[in-house]
Amino acid sequence: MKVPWLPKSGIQLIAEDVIAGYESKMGCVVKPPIPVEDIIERYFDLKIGFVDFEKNYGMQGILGATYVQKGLICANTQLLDGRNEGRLVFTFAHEVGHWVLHRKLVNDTYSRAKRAAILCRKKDAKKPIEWQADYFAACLLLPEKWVRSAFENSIGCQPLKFYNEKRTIDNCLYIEPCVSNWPFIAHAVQKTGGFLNVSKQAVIIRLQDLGLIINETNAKVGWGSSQYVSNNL
Amino acid sequence: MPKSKDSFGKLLRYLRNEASVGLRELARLIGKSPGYISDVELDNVPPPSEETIVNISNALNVDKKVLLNKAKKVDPELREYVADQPLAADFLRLAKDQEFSGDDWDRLTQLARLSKLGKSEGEEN
Repeated sequence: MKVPWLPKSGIQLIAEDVIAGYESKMGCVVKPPIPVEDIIERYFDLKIGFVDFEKNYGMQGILGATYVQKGLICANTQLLDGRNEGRLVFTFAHEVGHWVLHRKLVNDTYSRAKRAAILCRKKDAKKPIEWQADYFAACLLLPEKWVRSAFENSIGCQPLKFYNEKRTIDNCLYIEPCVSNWPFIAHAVQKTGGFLNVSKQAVIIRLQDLGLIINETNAKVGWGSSQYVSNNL
Repeated sequence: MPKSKDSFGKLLRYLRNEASVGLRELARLIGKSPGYISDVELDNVPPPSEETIVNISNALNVDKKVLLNKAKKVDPELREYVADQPLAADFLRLAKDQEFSGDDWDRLTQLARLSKLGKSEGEEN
Protein backbone atom coordinates (compact mmCIF):
# COMPACT_ATOMS: atom_id res chain seq x y z
CA MET A 1 0.00 0.00 0.00
CA LYS A 2 1.31 3.43 -0.94
CA VAL A 3 1.42 6.03 1.79
CA PRO A 4 1.89 9.77 1.47
CA TRP A 5 5.25 11.14 2.55
CA LEU A 6 5.36 12.45 6.10
CA PRO A 7 8.25 14.42 7.60
CA LYS A 8 9.85 13.07 10.77
CA SER A 9 8.85 16.23 12.61
CA GLY A 10 5.22 15.66 11.59
CA ILE A 11 5.24 12.08 12.83
CA GLN A 12 6.82 13.19 16.10
CA LEU A 13 4.13 15.85 16.59
CA ILE A 14 1.40 13.27 16.03
CA ALA A 15 3.00 10.95 18.61
CA GLU A 16 3.25 13.84 21.08
CA ASP A 17 -0.43 14.62 20.48
CA VAL A 18 -1.32 11.04 21.35
CA ILE A 19 0.50 11.34 24.68
CA ALA A 20 -1.11 14.73 25.35
CA GLY A 21 -4.53 13.32 24.53
CA TYR A 22 -3.99 10.34 26.81
CA GLU A 23 -2.83 12.63 29.62
CA SER A 24 -5.90 14.78 29.18
CA LYS A 25 -8.29 11.81 29.12
CA MET A 26 -6.70 10.11 32.13
CA GLY A 27 -6.06 13.34 34.05
CA CYS A 28 -2.44 12.52 34.74
CA VAL A 29 1.06 13.37 33.55
CA VAL A 30 2.70 10.53 31.67
CA LYS A 31 6.34 9.72 32.28
CA PRO A 32 8.34 6.87 30.78
CA PRO A 33 7.85 3.97 30.61
CA ILE A 34 5.02 4.99 28.29
CA PRO A 35 2.02 2.69 28.95
CA VAL A 36 1.34 1.82 25.34
CA GLU A 37 -1.09 -1.02 26.01
CA ASP A 38 -3.16 1.27 28.22
CA ILE A 39 -3.07 3.93 25.49
CA ILE A 40 -4.41 1.37 23.02
CA GLU A 41 -7.21 0.18 25.26
CA ARG A 42 -8.26 3.20 27.27
CA TYR A 43 -7.38 6.12 25.01
CA PHE A 44 -8.15 4.69 21.58
CA ASP A 45 -10.71 2.19 22.92
CA LEU A 46 -9.22 -0.56 20.77
CA LYS A 47 -8.95 -4.24 21.57
CA ILE A 48 -5.65 -5.97 22.22
CA GLY A 49 -4.97 -9.48 21.03
CA PHE A 50 -2.16 -12.01 21.09
CA VAL A 51 -2.07 -14.27 18.09
CA ASP A 52 0.19 -17.12 17.05
CA PHE A 53 0.23 -16.16 13.38
CA GLU A 54 2.41 -19.09 12.43
CA LYS A 55 0.31 -21.75 14.16
CA ASN A 56 -3.13 -20.27 13.48
CA TYR A 57 -2.69 -18.91 9.98
CA GLY A 58 0.57 -20.43 8.75
CA MET A 59 2.03 -16.95 8.34
CA GLN A 60 5.75 -16.62 9.05
CA GLY A 61 7.63 -13.62 10.40
CA ILE A 62 4.66 -11.52 11.44
CA LEU A 63 5.29 -9.38 14.50
CA GLY A 64 1.92 -7.69 14.75
CA ALA A 65 -1.22 -6.65 12.95
CA THR A 66 -3.81 -3.90 12.99
CA TYR A 67 -7.33 -4.96 12.08
CA VAL A 68 -8.88 -1.63 11.21
CA GLN A 69 -12.52 -2.59 10.93
CA LYS A 70 -12.44 -4.73 14.05
CA GLY A 71 -10.60 -2.06 16.04
CA LEU A 72 -8.09 -4.73 17.04
CA ILE A 73 -4.34 -4.53 17.54
CA CYS A 74 -2.49 -7.84 17.75
CA ALA A 75 1.01 -8.91 18.66
CA ASN A 76 2.58 -12.28 17.96
CA THR A 77 2.45 -14.60 20.98
CA GLN A 78 6.06 -15.50 20.25
CA LEU A 79 7.00 -12.09 21.64
CA LEU A 80 5.60 -13.12 25.03
CA ASP A 81 8.51 -15.30 26.09
CA GLY A 82 9.80 -12.72 28.58
CA ARG A 83 13.02 -11.97 26.72
CA ASN A 84 11.25 -9.78 24.17
CA GLU A 85 9.55 -7.18 26.36
CA GLY A 86 11.12 -4.31 24.41
CA ARG A 87 10.17 -5.84 21.09
CA LEU A 88 6.62 -6.60 22.23
CA VAL A 89 6.04 -3.06 23.49
CA PHE A 90 7.63 -1.62 20.34
CA THR A 91 5.33 -3.79 18.22
CA PHE A 92 2.27 -2.44 20.02
CA ALA A 93 3.54 1.14 19.59
CA HIS A 94 4.24 0.39 15.92
CA GLU A 95 0.67 -0.84 15.44
CA VAL A 96 -0.62 2.32 17.14
CA GLY A 97 1.35 4.14 14.48
CA HIS A 98 -0.55 2.28 11.78
CA TRP A 99 -3.83 3.03 13.51
CA VAL A 100 -3.08 6.75 13.77
CA LEU A 101 -1.29 7.28 10.46
CA HIS A 102 -2.72 4.68 8.10
CA ARG A 103 -6.14 3.44 9.13
CA LYS A 104 -7.93 5.86 6.84
CA LEU A 105 -5.83 4.65 3.91
CA VAL A 106 -6.80 1.08 4.70
CA ASN A 107 -10.46 2.03 4.89
CA ASP A 108 -10.21 3.81 1.55
CA THR A 109 -8.26 1.00 -0.08
CA TYR A 110 -10.16 -1.95 1.32
CA SER A 111 -13.57 -0.46 2.01
CA ARG A 112 -15.35 -3.63 0.93
CA ALA A 113 -12.99 -6.06 2.49
CA LYS A 114 -14.32 -7.74 5.55
CA ARG A 115 -10.99 -8.27 7.22
CA ALA A 116 -8.98 -5.23 6.27
CA ALA A 117 -5.71 -5.47 8.13
CA ILE A 118 -2.17 -4.22 8.12
CA LEU A 119 0.14 -7.16 8.70
CA CYS A 120 3.65 -6.28 9.84
CA ARG A 121 6.49 -8.54 8.79
CA LYS A 122 10.13 -8.20 9.80
CA LYS A 123 11.20 -8.27 6.16
CA ASP A 124 9.00 -5.27 5.28
CA ALA A 125 10.74 -2.92 7.72
CA LYS A 126 12.09 -0.69 4.97
CA LYS A 127 8.78 -0.08 3.24
CA PRO A 128 7.54 3.50 3.77
CA ILE A 129 4.39 2.40 5.61
CA GLU A 130 6.44 0.31 8.03
CA TRP A 131 9.15 2.93 8.41
CA GLN A 132 6.55 5.55 9.34
CA ALA A 133 5.00 3.25 11.95
CA ASP A 134 8.46 2.44 13.34
CA TYR A 135 9.36 6.10 13.60
CA PHE A 136 6.03 6.85 15.28
CA ALA A 137 6.72 4.05 17.78
CA ALA A 138 10.15 5.49 18.60
CA CYS A 139 8.65 8.97 19.13
CA LEU A 140 5.85 7.56 21.29
CA LEU A 141 8.00 5.37 23.52
CA LEU A 142 11.00 7.70 23.61
CA PRO A 143 9.59 11.25 23.69
CA GLU A 144 12.24 13.78 22.71
CA LYS A 145 12.05 15.90 25.85
CA TRP A 146 12.49 12.88 28.13
CA VAL A 147 15.30 11.44 26.03
CA ARG A 148 17.21 14.73 25.95
CA SER A 149 16.77 15.16 29.69
CA ALA A 150 17.94 11.60 30.39
CA PHE A 151 20.93 12.03 28.08
CA GLU A 152 21.92 15.27 29.78
CA ASN A 153 21.60 13.74 33.24
CA SER A 154 23.47 10.54 32.42
CA ILE A 155 25.96 11.48 29.71
CA GLY A 156 26.22 15.26 29.50
CA CYS A 157 25.14 18.34 27.61
CA GLN A 158 27.20 17.70 24.48
CA PRO A 159 26.46 15.02 21.87
CA LEU A 160 28.78 12.02 21.89
CA LYS A 161 30.90 11.39 18.83
CA PHE A 162 32.07 7.92 17.94
CA TYR A 163 35.39 8.10 16.14
CA ASN A 164 36.34 4.49 16.78
CA GLU A 165 34.63 1.20 16.30
CA LYS A 166 36.27 -0.46 19.29
CA ARG A 167 37.59 0.86 22.57
CA THR A 168 41.16 2.07 22.44
CA ILE A 169 41.91 2.08 26.15
CA ASP A 170 41.56 -1.05 28.26
CA ASN A 171 40.27 -0.97 31.81
CA CYS A 172 39.36 2.69 31.69
CA LEU A 173 37.11 4.08 34.39
CA TYR A 174 34.77 5.89 32.05
CA ILE A 175 32.72 4.68 29.13
CA GLU A 176 34.79 5.43 26.10
CA PRO A 177 32.56 6.75 23.33
CA CYS A 178 32.96 4.16 20.59
CA VAL A 179 30.65 1.93 18.60
CA SER A 180 31.26 -1.24 20.63
CA ASN A 181 30.31 0.58 23.83
CA TRP A 182 26.86 1.50 22.59
CA PRO A 183 24.99 -0.83 24.99
CA PHE A 184 26.56 0.90 28.01
CA ILE A 185 25.51 4.30 26.73
CA ALA A 186 22.01 3.10 25.88
CA HIS A 187 21.73 1.43 29.28
CA ALA A 188 22.71 4.64 31.10
CA VAL A 189 20.10 6.69 29.23
CA GLN A 190 17.50 3.92 29.59
CA LYS A 191 17.98 3.72 33.35
CA THR A 192 18.10 7.47 33.94
CA GLY A 193 15.07 8.16 31.77
CA GLY A 194 12.99 5.24 33.02
CA PHE A 195 12.62 3.78 29.51
CA LEU A 196 12.23 0.35 31.03
CA ASN A 197 9.90 -1.11 28.40
CA VAL A 198 12.15 -0.20 25.47
CA SER A 199 15.15 -2.13 24.16
CA LYS A 200 18.65 -0.71 24.28
CA GLN A 201 18.70 -0.94 20.52
CA ALA A 202 15.66 1.34 20.25
CA VAL A 203 17.28 3.79 22.67
CA ILE A 204 20.55 4.00 20.72
CA ILE A 205 18.71 4.44 17.41
CA ARG A 206 16.64 7.26 18.93
CA LEU A 207 19.79 8.91 20.35
CA GLN A 208 21.32 8.94 16.88
CA ASP A 209 18.13 10.24 15.34
CA LEU A 210 18.07 13.14 17.81
CA GLY A 211 21.72 13.91 17.06
CA LEU A 212 22.85 13.03 20.57
CA ILE A 213 25.10 10.26 19.24
CA ILE A 214 27.11 11.04 16.15
CA ASN A 215 28.70 8.04 14.53
CA GLU A 216 31.76 9.01 12.47
CA THR A 217 32.74 5.40 11.75
CA ASN A 218 31.46 3.07 9.07
CA ALA A 219 30.28 0.53 11.63
CA LYS A 220 26.60 0.31 12.39
CA VAL A 221 25.62 1.23 15.94
CA GLY A 222 23.20 -1.06 17.71
CA TRP A 223 23.97 -4.30 15.92
CA GLY A 224 26.34 -7.23 15.61
CA SER A 225 29.23 -7.93 17.92
CA SER A 226 27.98 -5.56 20.56
CA GLN A 227 25.46 -8.18 21.60
CA TYR A 228 28.17 -9.63 23.80
CA VAL A 229 28.47 -6.36 25.68
CA SER A 230 24.69 -6.01 25.80
CA ASN A 231 24.25 -9.39 27.44
CA ASN A 232 26.79 -8.56 30.08
CA LEU A 233 25.08 -5.42 31.33
CA MET B 1 -21.32 0.26 29.83
CA PRO B 2 -21.85 -3.10 28.12
CA LYS B 3 -25.34 -4.15 27.09
CA SER B 4 -27.02 -7.28 28.45
CA LYS B 5 -26.76 -8.99 25.06
CA ASP B 6 -23.01 -8.40 24.87
CA SER B 7 -20.74 -11.40 24.94
CA PHE B 8 -18.72 -12.68 27.89
CA GLY B 9 -15.51 -11.48 26.25
CA LYS B 10 -16.80 -7.98 25.77
CA LEU B 11 -17.99 -7.78 29.38
CA LEU B 12 -14.65 -9.07 30.66
CA ARG B 13 -12.74 -6.52 28.62
CA TYR B 14 -15.01 -3.73 29.90
CA LEU B 15 -14.58 -4.77 33.55
CA ARG B 16 -10.82 -5.16 33.14
CA ASN B 17 -10.47 -1.69 31.66
CA GLU B 18 -12.70 -0.23 34.36
CA ALA B 19 -10.43 -1.82 36.94
CA SER B 20 -7.35 -0.42 35.13
CA VAL B 21 -5.79 -3.85 34.88
CA GLY B 22 -3.84 -4.61 31.72
CA LEU B 23 -4.46 -7.80 29.76
CA ARG B 24 -1.00 -9.13 30.53
CA GLU B 25 -1.34 -8.14 34.18
CA LEU B 26 -4.62 -10.02 34.51
CA ALA B 27 -3.06 -13.08 32.90
CA ARG B 28 -0.20 -12.93 35.39
CA LEU B 29 -2.55 -12.45 38.36
CA ILE B 30 -4.61 -15.55 37.57
CA GLY B 31 -1.79 -17.70 36.22
CA LYS B 32 -3.01 -17.93 32.63
CA SER B 33 -1.31 -16.93 29.38
CA PRO B 34 -2.02 -13.52 27.81
CA GLY B 35 -2.89 -15.38 24.62
CA TYR B 36 -5.65 -17.24 26.45
CA ILE B 37 -7.11 -14.08 28.03
CA SER B 38 -6.95 -12.41 24.63
CA ASP B 39 -8.84 -15.34 23.08
CA VAL B 40 -11.49 -15.17 25.81
CA GLU B 41 -11.94 -11.42 25.37
CA LEU B 42 -12.24 -11.78 21.62
CA ASP B 43 -14.72 -14.66 22.08
CA ASN B 44 -12.47 -16.99 20.13
CA VAL B 45 -12.92 -19.60 22.88
CA PRO B 46 -15.79 -20.36 25.29
CA PRO B 47 -15.85 -18.61 28.69
CA PRO B 48 -13.36 -20.03 31.20
CA SER B 49 -14.13 -22.54 33.94
CA GLU B 50 -16.03 -21.48 37.06
CA GLU B 51 -12.84 -21.46 39.11
CA THR B 52 -11.02 -19.25 36.59
CA ILE B 53 -13.97 -16.85 36.48
CA VAL B 54 -13.85 -16.56 40.26
CA ASN B 55 -10.10 -15.88 40.08
CA ILE B 56 -10.67 -13.23 37.41
CA SER B 57 -13.39 -11.60 39.53
CA ASN B 58 -11.07 -11.48 42.54
CA ALA B 59 -8.24 -10.02 40.46
CA LEU B 60 -10.53 -7.31 39.08
CA ASN B 61 -12.28 -6.80 42.42
CA VAL B 62 -15.73 -7.29 40.91
CA ASP B 63 -18.72 -9.33 42.11
CA LYS B 64 -18.15 -12.85 40.79
CA LYS B 65 -21.81 -13.34 39.98
CA VAL B 66 -21.60 -10.71 37.22
CA LEU B 67 -19.19 -12.83 35.16
CA LEU B 68 -20.56 -16.19 36.27
CA ASN B 69 -24.08 -15.20 35.23
CA LYS B 70 -22.85 -13.93 31.88
CA ALA B 71 -21.03 -17.23 31.31
CA LYS B 72 -24.11 -19.15 32.48
CA LYS B 73 -21.98 -20.92 35.06
CA VAL B 74 -22.65 -21.76 38.65
CA ASP B 75 -20.56 -20.39 41.48
CA PRO B 76 -18.47 -23.33 42.77
CA GLU B 77 -19.41 -22.36 46.34
CA LEU B 78 -23.09 -22.54 45.42
CA ARG B 79 -22.64 -25.88 43.71
CA GLU B 80 -21.04 -27.22 46.87
CA TYR B 81 -23.85 -25.77 49.00
CA VAL B 82 -26.55 -27.40 46.91
CA ALA B 83 -24.67 -30.68 47.03
CA ASP B 84 -24.59 -30.46 50.83
CA GLN B 85 -28.26 -29.44 51.19
CA PRO B 86 -30.58 -32.01 49.58
CA LEU B 87 -33.60 -29.80 50.29
CA ALA B 88 -32.06 -26.98 48.32
CA ALA B 89 -31.54 -29.33 45.40
CA ASP B 90 -35.13 -30.54 45.71
CA PHE B 91 -36.37 -26.97 45.74
CA LEU B 92 -34.41 -26.11 42.60
CA ARG B 93 -35.78 -29.22 40.91
CA LEU B 94 -39.29 -28.13 41.82
CA ALA B 95 -38.64 -24.66 40.45
CA LYS B 96 -37.44 -26.21 37.23
CA ASP B 97 -40.45 -28.54 36.93
CA GLN B 98 -42.88 -25.73 37.71
CA GLU B 99 -41.10 -23.46 35.24
CA PHE B 100 -40.71 -20.56 37.67
CA SER B 101 -40.83 -17.18 35.97
CA GLY B 102 -38.73 -14.14 36.80
CA ASP B 103 -41.63 -12.79 38.86
CA ASP B 104 -41.84 -16.04 40.81
CA TRP B 105 -38.18 -15.83 41.64
CA ASP B 106 -38.49 -12.19 42.68
CA ARG B 107 -41.34 -13.01 45.07
CA LEU B 108 -39.53 -16.02 46.48
CA THR B 109 -36.35 -14.05 46.98
CA GLN B 110 -38.34 -11.39 48.84
CA LEU B 111 -40.01 -14.04 50.98
CA ALA B 112 -36.69 -15.68 51.75
CA ARG B 113 -35.20 -12.37 52.82
CA LEU B 114 -38.20 -11.54 55.01
CA SER B 115 -38.15 -14.97 56.55
CA LYS B 116 -34.48 -14.61 57.47
CA LEU B 117 -35.12 -11.10 58.75
CA GLY B 118 -37.91 -12.28 61.03
CA LYS B 119 -35.79 -15.10 62.31
CA SER B 120 -32.90 -12.91 63.30
CA GLU B 121 -35.25 -10.34 64.95
CA GLY B 122 -36.91 -13.12 66.92
CA GLU B 123 -33.54 -14.40 68.05
CA GLU B 124 -32.54 -10.95 69.21
CA ASN B 125 -35.74 -10.58 71.27
